[in-house]
Parts: sequence; C-alpha cells; structure tokens
Amino acid sequence: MVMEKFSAAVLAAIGLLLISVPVFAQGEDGLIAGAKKEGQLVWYTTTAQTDNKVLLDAFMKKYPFIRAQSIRAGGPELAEKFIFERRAGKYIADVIRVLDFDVERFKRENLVARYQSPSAEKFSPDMKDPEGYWTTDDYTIKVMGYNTKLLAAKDAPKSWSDLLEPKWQGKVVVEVLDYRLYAGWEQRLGVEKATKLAEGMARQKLILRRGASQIAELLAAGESPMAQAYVHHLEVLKAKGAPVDWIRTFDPLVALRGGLAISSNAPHTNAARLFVDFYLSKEGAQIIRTWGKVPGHPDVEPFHKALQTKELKIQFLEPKLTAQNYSHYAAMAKKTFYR
Amino acid sequence: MAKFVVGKNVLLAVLVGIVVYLTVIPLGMILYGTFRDGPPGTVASFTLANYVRAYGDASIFVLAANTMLFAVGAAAVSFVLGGFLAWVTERTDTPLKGAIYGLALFPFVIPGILTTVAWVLLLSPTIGLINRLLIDNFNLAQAPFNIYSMAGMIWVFGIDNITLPFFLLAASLRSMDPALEEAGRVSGMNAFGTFWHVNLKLLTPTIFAVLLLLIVRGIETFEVPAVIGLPAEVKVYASEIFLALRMFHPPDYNLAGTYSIFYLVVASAGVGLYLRATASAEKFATITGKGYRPRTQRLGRWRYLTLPLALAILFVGVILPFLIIALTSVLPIYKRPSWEFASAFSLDYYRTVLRMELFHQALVNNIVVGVISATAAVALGTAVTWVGVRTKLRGRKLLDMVAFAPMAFPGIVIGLALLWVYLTLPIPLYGTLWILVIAYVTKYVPIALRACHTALLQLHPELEEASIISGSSWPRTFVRVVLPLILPGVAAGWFYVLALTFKALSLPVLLSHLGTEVLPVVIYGFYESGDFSELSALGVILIGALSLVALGTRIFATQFSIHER
Repeated sequence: MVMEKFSAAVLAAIGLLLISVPVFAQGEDGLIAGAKKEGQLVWYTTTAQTDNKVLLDAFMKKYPFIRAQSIRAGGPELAEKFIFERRAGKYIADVIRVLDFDVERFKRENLVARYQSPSAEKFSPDMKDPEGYWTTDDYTIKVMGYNTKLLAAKDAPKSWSDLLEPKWQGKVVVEVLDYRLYAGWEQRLGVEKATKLAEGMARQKLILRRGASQIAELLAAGESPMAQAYVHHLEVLKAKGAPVDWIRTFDPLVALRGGLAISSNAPHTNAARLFVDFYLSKEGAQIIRTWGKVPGHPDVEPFHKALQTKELKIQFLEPKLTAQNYSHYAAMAKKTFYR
Repeated sequence: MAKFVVGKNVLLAVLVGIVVYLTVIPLGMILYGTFRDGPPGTVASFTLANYVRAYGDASIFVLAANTMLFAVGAAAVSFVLGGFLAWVTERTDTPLKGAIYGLALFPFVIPGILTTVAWVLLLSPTIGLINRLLIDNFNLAQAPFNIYSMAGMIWVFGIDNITLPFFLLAASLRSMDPALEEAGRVSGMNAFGTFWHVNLKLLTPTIFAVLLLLIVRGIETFEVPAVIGLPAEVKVYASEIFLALRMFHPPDYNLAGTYSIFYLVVASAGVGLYLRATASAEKFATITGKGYRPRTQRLGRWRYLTLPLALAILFVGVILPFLIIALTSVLPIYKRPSWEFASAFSLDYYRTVLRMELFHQALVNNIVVGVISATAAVALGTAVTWVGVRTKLRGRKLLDMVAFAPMAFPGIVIGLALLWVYLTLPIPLYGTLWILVIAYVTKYVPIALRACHTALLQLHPELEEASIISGSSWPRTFVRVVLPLILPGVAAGWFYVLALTFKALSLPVLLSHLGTEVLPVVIYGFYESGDFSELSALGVILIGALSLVALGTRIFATQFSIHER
C-alpha cells in the first residue's frame, strides 16, 4: 500500500517534471525565436533620454534582430499616455517603466501582464511585486540634503524630530504637496506619530518648491541650507564638485522604487520578455548603476559609494496601501507641505 | 469675375470650417468633461461637483484677484518695455536698430524654465548675483531685491514677454501713415500731442490685441507661478490647477478643465470688448489709397537718450539672464563667476547636445512641424479675420471668439483632450507629426488671428477695390495688393507661432511619439533628469538658430513689403 502510494507519487512527480520542463527549456531560446519574428520593441520609460539610449544600444547589440525604441516622458504624462492609448484600444507599448505605485494603477485596469523574469530570481522581496507584475530596476531615496558651505556636518539635524527645533524654521526646502514623504512617515511610524510630526513640520515655515532636480540644483547653489532632495541628484552634484551632502541618520528615509512591467496584450511579447530579462540581469544592472540610483540587482553595488551601506533606515512605500490611503496622505500633505 | 468671388467664398468657408473643427472638438470635450465624474473612456456620470469644488469657495475671489494682478501687472511691464523698443526701432532714427531688434528676440526663444531659474540666480535674496553685487559694493544691510514676491513674479514674466508687444507694435508702427501725423502737427499739436491724439488712437486695435494676448498668457502660464510663486506663497490659478492634478489619484483632469473655464470667460470677454472697440474698421486704416510713405522720426539730440535707454532695458532684462544661462552651459554646476570658473570651463555639454541623435531628429521635426503650423495658423487666422473685417456675415464675432478660445486653456488640458480625440477618431493621425501640427494650430491660431486682425484693420479696403475695379482677379489682388501690405503683422504672427512650437512644453509631451519628438520634449527631458548644463547649452543653441530665422523673417518682410527706400 505504501509502495503503491510512493510510486504513484514518483510517477506524478515525473509527470509534473515532464510538463514543466518545456516551460523552463523554452527559456531564452524560445523567446529569441519568437522575438526574431516580432523584430521590434517599444519601451515607455521615465528614465533620462541619454541614459535609456545606452541600455537600448546594449540590448540591440546582444539581439541585433530587434529594433528597440523608447518614448520618454515624466511619470504623470507617461502614465496618462499609456492609459489613454489602452482605453482607446491602441496597443503600442511593450514594456513600461514608471514608479511601482503607477504600475499598481495599471494593474487595477488590467493593463499589465504577470511576468517573473528569471533574471530577478535572486532579487530581494522588496524589489519585486509579490503578485508578479512588476520588478524594481532601480530605486532612489528622498534624503535631507544640505549645503556644506552653509551648514557644517556636525551642526546638521540628525533626525526628523531634530528638524522640529525652532532654529530650523525657514531653512528647509521641501517638495510641495509631498504626499510620499508623509506616507513614508505614516507607514513607518504609525498614524499618531506621523500626524504629530506633520503638525510640527507645518509650523517650521518650510520653503515650498516644485521639481526634484531643480531643488537639488538650487541647494547646490546655496539658495537654502537644507533641502529634501533625491539622493542620486545629490550624489551626481557632489561628484561634479558641488558643496552638497546628505544626512544618513534620518528614520525613515523614504525610497521610491521603479516598476518595470510588461503591457498586457503587448504587440511584441517575446521581445518584451527578452528586454526585461536583459534589463534586470547583471549586465543591465551594470548599466543602471551608472545612472546614479541604487540597482535592484543584489549583486551590483550602486555607483556612488555613499549609497552602498546597509544601515540606512529605508522605507519603501507599500503600493497597495498607498493607493488605498491616497486621499488621506494627500490631505495631510496639503496641511504640511502647502500654504 | 463672379467665379472668382465664388472661389473666394468657398475658400473662406473651407478655412473657417477647419478652424471651427479644430477648435470645437477639443473644447467640446473639455467642456463635456467638466460635467463628468470620470476620465474619458471610463464609465462616468453627470455631475456638478467639479464646478462646486472649483468655484464654490470664497477663496476663489482672492485667487482670481491675485491672478489678474499678476497677469495685468506683467502685461503692463511687457507692453511698456516692448512698445518702447518697437517705437525706437520702427519710427525713430536711433542707431543700432539691428542690435536692438536682435536682442529683443532673445527672451522669446529661450525656454521659459531657463529664464525663470536664471532670474532666481540673479535676484534671490540669498544667492542672487545682482543682490550680492549691490550688497558688497554699497554695504547694504540686506538684499534690495527679493524675487520671491508678486513684484518679482510680475518682473520675470513681464520681461520674458517683451517680444510679443515688440513684434506686433513694430508691425503696426511700420504701417503707420505719417500724413496723419503731419496733419496733427499742422493743426498745432506738438510731438507729444500728436503721439497721444493721432498715433495712440490709430494703434488702439494693436494695443488692445497685445494686452489681451499678454493677459491671457499671464493667466495661463505655469512656470513663473511654480518656480517663484510657490516659495513666495503667491497663489494664482495655475497653482490651483496644479493642486487639482496632484491631490487626487488618478489626477483629476476634469477638475483642471473646470478651473480653466475661468480663463475662457476672461479671454472671451476680452475678445468681445476688443471687437466692439474695433468695430468701425475704417477708423483705424492707416494704409489708404492716398499714398503711403512710412517715415521715421528724426530725433536729433533725443537719440542720446533713446539709445542708452533701449540698451539699458535690453541689458538688464535680456542680456543678464542670458549670461547666466551661457555661464551654466559651460560649467558642470552653477557657480558664481570667479577665477575658479576657468578651470571648470568645458564645452562638453554642447558636444553632448550636438551629438544626440534625438536632438537632431527633434530639431528637424520641430522645424517641419513649426513651419507648417505657423503657415497654417496664419492662413486660418487671415481667413477668420477676413470674415470678421471684410464681410457683414452674422456670427462673425462669435467665430472670432470661438477661434480665440483655445488660447485660454493650459497646454496639458488641451493636450489631453486632443490625445483622446485622435486616439478614438478613425483617422490614422496619432503617432504622426500631423497630430502635432493640429495641436499647435489649434492652440496658436488665436495669436495669428490677433496679429492678422490688427494688420488687416490698418488696410483700407479702397486699395483692393481699386485693384478689382481695374480688372484684376481676386487672387491676384490678394497676392499683389493685400498680402504685401499686411505682411509685417502677418509675418510677426508667423514667426511668433513658429517660435512657440519650440517653447511650449505640455502640449507636445503628450502627443509626441516614436520619431516625432520635438525640441521641447528634449528640453523637458534634460530638465527632469537634472542635466542643467546640457539644458543651458541647448538654450544657447536655440537662441542662435532662432535669431537667424527671425532676422531672415525681418529681411523678407522688409524686402517684400512696401516702405520708403
């Protein structure tokens, strides 16, 4: 009896293996065959235009039979363009790269397909959608930057609560309506502590600005002693000789993850998968790291040494929670980061 | 003869039909959206909630007041400065006109973000160069200028827009008949009296049109309110639209459209007033059958005042921000000018831009799209103007208002409307350059319209009538008589629309596609990724290129229009 059950189990296992082997064996060869017939790839992305060309060129070198092109726009415009096209029944984009949060919005309207790239197998769970629709190519962190000519490192605040001291009034630039910062506070500290922090910050005469890159540029020029900016902008400026640095000890440091996804009903599915596999591979990550952000790939270190340490208290925003609580976060952001 | 009249009417009807089609469809969509609670393509129901949210709050009055203060203030600055420069170049014998003309073009061809940030670097109370210079040299306790104020906003937007009044007023001044001024002098008026009673009255349509255009642009602009208004805590309408797009997920474009209705009301009221003021066209005709010899005023000693004044305006208003941009284009990061500058100097950023395949593609696309759009806009503007000024058709005022309406809507609102229309219409225009042409023509016919309108008002119909009575056909009359005489104004409108296709940001960002990118897409790309050196280099390259085109346009308009040699 036991033997029969045992052999049944073995047979079942072999059967399963036989069925699944084609799936794994399809792997790259199958995709290549399919991609050869497709011959094209269209990638919608928020990545800088000079940067994304490098990636595309490397991809086309590896797969010369695919003509790969990109359309670059800012997150909101790109998302609207993609959504409008799909609603009108036009299938143009194969792969789309926006923030994880925007991909969640696409998920709700069934605009993206599940694809768990073999390249991302070793990625940490933080770098992937648990439901398998997006993977993080790279991420950046919102940090409190400061101008080293106007503020010495030892005098800089060490935590969010330090920032509530009266001496920092009128000295800190933040991005207007920064709901993500508030969301990060709440998802890390809980509603009560986050609300108290927000109320305190609202009294600090924060200087409001738009445009993350511009905020970093003006910080480097000395327009204000401190500014909430993206770490990769600051590190790039530092490398160019700008007198900027950032504080490592804030808790939380809100991070923004990229979300790379394949469009559902993409016109060139095989090419799309090849591209995603390439993008998320070590080779792709080596290109991504030159863009200054932190690659999602666990084996590739970020370009800027300052981003390499693990002790940073990074808070990734949970996309579903963020979508659910959006109006609440936006309302709190209006109270704190708007006048 | 009769068949030419029929031909002309058919042509007019077709052109007017095109204008109506281009305008009514997106506007209709936007209007429709303001009554819906969901974006196009989704299941949505009728609602008045957008209007309640947009206009139901008392704070709307403060917002409207701020917006009008900003728009009118900036319009006044542009008008006075641009108008003065126009008068100096067109009606006086001040020397160095070519230099004045060339410099007056600069603010217009540089992307707005660059000039706005350049002004921050000049007038910021903490790092502004002008402030620092004054503080250091005059031992001042604090910075004399604070750009983060309503005054700062008015200055930056005002000085950035001197090119429009300059162009349109120059064109009208060029066509002024000095016989009328002589009549004034002969009756005993001095130079100032003549200016006030004769010139200004004749220029009323142009002045009105220019102010209207400037005010509507002021209401609609978003760069200055974003870069300067936000830190200054000065809120205008553009800020509310921005809020509407950020506070909700997904962004609430219907609400943004609802806010734009305010702009539409102001713009339409403005056009209505303008049309009423210019209703009796013959009053403003300066080009008549009585002989027409535009002549410049001999200023004598006053030249020693007008030239330095003009150059001072241009130095402070145009050259200073340009120098900042040029400085940023050769340094990796913005640094205050000093001797360290020499070691960091690099032309790499120019190389990066000039080597970019995307830049070349976008430049070619932009030129093609720009020239076609400008020509189409001017043709359509002339048609609508013709109907308005030369016919007695009922509804011609409404036609003008409808054609003018798109000017009032922010680029992102119109862009989305057009995106949806051309995604769903069974015409294969999406993803081609043609959809950009449609977008630009839709948005900029209003400007061409005003330029053509004021130009045609100056032309007395007796010249065409004489030509037709002498046996000439209508097409020949138009090409040989009308066109050369309205050319300065029409050329101004043409060039202005062309330059706008290089500047406008939100419209092409949504509608550009693979291979149909235009320059603003590249500009915005650099801006968002923080490549300010490359962005500045691109700005300088654009100035060079567009200045050449402008000078070419001026030479062409001068050669082919009529003037005293």
